Amino acid sequence: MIEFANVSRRYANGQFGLQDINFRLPTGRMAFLTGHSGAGKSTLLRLIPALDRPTSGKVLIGGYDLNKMGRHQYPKLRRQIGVVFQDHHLLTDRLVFDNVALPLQVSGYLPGDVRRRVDAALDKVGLLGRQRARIEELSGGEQQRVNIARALVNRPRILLADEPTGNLDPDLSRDIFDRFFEFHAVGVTVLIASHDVELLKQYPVPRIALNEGRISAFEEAES
Amino acid sequence: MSGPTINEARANSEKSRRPLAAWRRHHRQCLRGAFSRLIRRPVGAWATILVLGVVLSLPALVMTLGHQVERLGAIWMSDAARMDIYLATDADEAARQTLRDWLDRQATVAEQRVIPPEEGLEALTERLHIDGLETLESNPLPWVIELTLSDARADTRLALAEGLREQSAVAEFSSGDDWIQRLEQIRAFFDELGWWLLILLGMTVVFVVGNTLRLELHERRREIALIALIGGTERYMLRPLLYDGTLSGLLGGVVASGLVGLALSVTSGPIERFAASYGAAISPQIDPALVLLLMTAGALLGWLSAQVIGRFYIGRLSTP
Repeated sequence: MIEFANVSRRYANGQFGLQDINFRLPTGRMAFLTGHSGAGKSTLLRLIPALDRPTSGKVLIGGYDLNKMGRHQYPKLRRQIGVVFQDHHLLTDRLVFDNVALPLQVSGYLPGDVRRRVDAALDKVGLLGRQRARIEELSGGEQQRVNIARALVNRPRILLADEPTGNLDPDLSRDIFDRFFEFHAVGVTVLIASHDVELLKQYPVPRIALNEGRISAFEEAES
Repeated sequence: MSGPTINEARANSEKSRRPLAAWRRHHRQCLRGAFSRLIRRPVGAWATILVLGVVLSLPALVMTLGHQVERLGAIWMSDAARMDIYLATDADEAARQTLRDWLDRQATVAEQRVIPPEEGLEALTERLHIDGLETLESNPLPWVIELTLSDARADTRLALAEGLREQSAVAEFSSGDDWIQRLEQIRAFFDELGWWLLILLGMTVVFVVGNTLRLELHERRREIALIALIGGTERYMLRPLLYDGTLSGLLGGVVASGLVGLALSVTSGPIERFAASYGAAISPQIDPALVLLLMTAGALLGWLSAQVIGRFYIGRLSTP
């Protein structure tokens, strides 16, 4: 479960990135985070894996108050959260395999298991057979799929995505959203930030609309 | 998605984690990584190691100098391996014999010669050209035992002196070892200076290694931020750095040993000639204990540097 209670994030220059955010996303549910660029979507997502701290208010993940969490507890929290970034955050000098394997190696899996899981994750995003490719040899869409495979390889409880289809064509975008929807179907809590209104309309998922750092609307799923 | 449900998959996933084996494996990877960086970035890595070598060789040279002074001093003082014991006036024949037996048992005593007061008085008369001393009512000179020691080292004397102090028949004994004590003090001074330099320059090592590691961290900052994001612990991120720092320090110690060895071989000519003039043969060589000290100090300082710099920067890269 993800819960935000009166969360604000104020920057050093005095401006608010987020202001008085309140919402709850129960375990296994999916929601979209919408809004123009600069509305605060990325700022909100960064608070969930404790990449940033709110200046006031509480963020609770699975009932744990992140404000009360020490630095040494972050790794455990972050291993349960898969994150797909706007910019790919891939290690461009490494192979596809190495990029996807990283979360498993960090969590202490042995090479045999790592190989099996990486293959499975790459299979899910349609990149099986590209393990030995270099990241720089891949197209933008393929790189984004590597990113998704890496976010999922650890079988996280929560999946966050920040503009995951930002630079992809509509077909590919739908394909990627379909996959997110599948993960939601098997019990993963999914929160996706996107401004692609047309694409979002195709999914019966509640939407949290952000505007200038505030929640401007909370739309229940249309079915 | 077909196959097992996510919860079953997660349970399986927990089962197949092998933290200890993975931990060992990561250590091996980090060690290999540290060596491979020496090959991949030869100029940067070896420049650091060379600087460490030069910095560490300075205290080592000072310590070695002290050691050589002591060795040369020992040769110089080799004819000073003697000690005179003056017996108490009330020590009778039996007390004298007890003392002689005790001296016989001391491994450090090579020879002993007893000089009775009469013989001493004769020698004194002869030496001072004074007549009439034999007319003295009683001989004021004590019994003397002249010792030849097995060697001229100060600690040999000290050990013997300690024993002598407990012998009731002994009134006094010649300290005669002023020179050896002075040499000993010079050596102690060099030793102390060496240790101070090692501490002082050790800080330099921490900064030199730290700066190299900082550059490496800067190059790998994206990777570190990513590892932090996917749940890597600080220790996991720090580990490769610890291996890099320790290896650089260790190799710096090896280079320093090499430099000291080189300095010794350059100065070996004069030292050997000096020793030969006293009929002794020494070939100056680096003390294995010093090599061990340099390598240990280098490795420890490198590790410390990685801890300090690593924790600071990784903390900044991985937390809000």
